[in-house]
Amino acid sequence: MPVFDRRYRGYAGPRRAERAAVWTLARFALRHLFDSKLTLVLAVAVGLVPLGFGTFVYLANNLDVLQSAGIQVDLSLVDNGTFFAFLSVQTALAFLFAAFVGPALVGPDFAHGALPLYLSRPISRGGYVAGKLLALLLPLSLATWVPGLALVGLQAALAPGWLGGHARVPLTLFFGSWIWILMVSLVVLAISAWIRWRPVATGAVFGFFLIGEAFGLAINQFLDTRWGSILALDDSVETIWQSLMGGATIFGRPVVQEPLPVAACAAMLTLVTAAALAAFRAKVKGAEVSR
Amino acid sequence: MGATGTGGAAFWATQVRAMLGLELKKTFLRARALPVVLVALLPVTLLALRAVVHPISGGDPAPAAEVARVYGHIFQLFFLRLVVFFGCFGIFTYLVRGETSERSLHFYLLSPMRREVFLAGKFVAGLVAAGALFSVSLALQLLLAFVPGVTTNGTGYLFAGPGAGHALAYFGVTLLAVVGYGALFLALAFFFRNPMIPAAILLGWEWINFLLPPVLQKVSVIHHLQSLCPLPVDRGPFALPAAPTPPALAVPGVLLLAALLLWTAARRARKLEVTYAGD
Repeated sequence: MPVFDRRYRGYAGPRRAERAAVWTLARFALRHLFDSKLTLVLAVAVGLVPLGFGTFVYLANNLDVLQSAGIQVDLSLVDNGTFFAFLSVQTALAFLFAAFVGPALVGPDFAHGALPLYLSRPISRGGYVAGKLLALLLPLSLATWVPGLALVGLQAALAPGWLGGHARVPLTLFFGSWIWILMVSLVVLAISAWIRWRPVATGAVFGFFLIGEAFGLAINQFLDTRWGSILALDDSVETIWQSLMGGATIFGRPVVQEPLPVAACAAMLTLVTAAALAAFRAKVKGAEVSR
Repeated sequence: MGATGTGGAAFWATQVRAMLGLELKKTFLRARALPVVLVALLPVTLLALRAVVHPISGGDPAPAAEVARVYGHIFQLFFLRLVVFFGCFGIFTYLVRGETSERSLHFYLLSPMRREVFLAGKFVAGLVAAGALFSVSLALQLLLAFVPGVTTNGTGYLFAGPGAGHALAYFGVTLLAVVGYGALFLALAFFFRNPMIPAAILLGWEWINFLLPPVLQKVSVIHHLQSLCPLPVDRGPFALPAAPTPPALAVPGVLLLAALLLWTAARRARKLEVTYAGD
C-alpha cells in the first residue's frame, strides 16, 4: 500500500512582484464594471459624443461634401473652442460615469468588511488605493483624453499644418483631462468609502459638486464678491483649461466670464484632490473597531 | 381586531409613535446623520459669515427690503432646490434602503405590524426629523439675515414689518417641500434598489424647470413651491414665463401628490420581501 507524503509544502511556483497586486485589483474591478445596464448606457453615451465631434471635424474639413449634396452651411473652422466644448461635454459625462460607477467599486468592500481580506494578502493600503483608483481612471481616460487626442489626430491629418498653430490643444486635452478625472475619481472613492451605501454615496457626490457651486454663487451674491466661484470646481477647472489653451471662445464669447486667477483655481483643485486622497486612505484599514 | 386592542386607528397610532421614537434614536440622533445636518446648516454658515465679515469690512448696513430680495434668491435657488432636495433624499431613502443595507429590515417585517403602519411610521419619523432640521436652519438663516448692524432695521422688518409674513411663508414652503420630496423619495426607495438614478433624473427635471413650456413646468414639485414663495426671483433670460399656481391649488396639489405616492408605496410595501443578497 503506497504511503503519500501529505506534509505541508510551501508554494514553489513563480511569484509576481508586489506591484502586480495593484493591477490584479484593478483587473477584477474592471471585469465587473459593465455588469450593470446603467454602466453600459453611460458608456454608450460617452462613446457617441466623440463620434459626433469626429463627424463635425470631418465635415468642417470637407465642406465640398455637403455642398455637393446641396446643403449650404457655414461651418466655422475647427479651433480651440471646438476642443474646449469637447472637453467640457466629455468631462461632464465622465463625472456622471464616475458618480454612478465609482461607489460600486469600493462601497461593498467597506460595507461588508472585506478590507481585512484584501490587506491580509501581499498588498499594502497604498496598493489598494492605487488599484481602485486605476479601475476608475482607465475608463475615464478612455472617455476624455484618449478620444480627444484621436480627434486632434484626425484634424491634423485632414488639415496639415493645423497642429503647428494649435500645439497647446493636445496638451490641454491631456493635462486638462487628468486634472479633472483624478480629482473626480478620488472624491468619488473617498465619499464611497465614508458613506458606504451606494445610492447615498452617488447622491453625496452630486451634492458635493452641485451644492458647492450653488454655495459659491450664494457667497458671490450675498457678500458682493466673486471669490465664491472658487467653490464651483467645474468653473475652476475650466479656468485652467482656458489658460492652458491660451484662450478659447465659443460663439465668439470667452468660455469663462471673469475668471479667477489660475493659481487660485489650481490651489483649490489641488486641495480638494489631496483632501480626498487623505480621506480615502484614512478609511483603508485592516481592522476596525465597531461600537 | 379593534375590540381586542390589536387593531384600529388608536393601536396603529401607538405603533407609529413607537416607530417614531425608535427611528429618532437609531437613525437621526447618531453621528451618521451629521452630513445631512451640515448640509442643512450651509446657508446658516453663509449668513453667519456675512454677519461677521460685514462689520469688519466697515460697509454700511443694507436696507431690509434689499436683503429680503437677495435672501429670496438664496432660499429658492439654493436652500429649496438643493439643500432641502438632497437633505430629503438622504433622510427618506435611508429610512428604507438603509435598513436593507444594514440587514435590519426583516425585524420590522417580522413584527406584528401592518405594512401600511410600517410605512406611515417611517414617513412620520422622516417628516419630524427633516421638518425640525430644516425649520431650525431656516430660523437661524432669517435671524442672521436680518441681524441688526448688518441690515438696517432688520429686527423691525422681520418681527413687525412684512418680514414676519414672509418668514411664515418660508416656513410653510419648507415644510411642504419636506412633505412632497419626502413622500417622493420614500416611494422611490420602495421601488428602486438604487433610488439615486430616478432622483438624478428628477433633479435634472426640477433644475431645468424654468426652461420648460408652462404646461410642463407645472409637472414638478418646485414650480408649486416657488409659487408659494413671498418674493418672486429673476429666473434668467432663458426662462419661459409661467403663471404661478394659486396657493389654494398649490398646497393641496403637493399634499395630494404626497398622499398618492404614499398610497402607491403602501401597496408596494404589502408585497415587500427582503432578499439582502441583491443589495
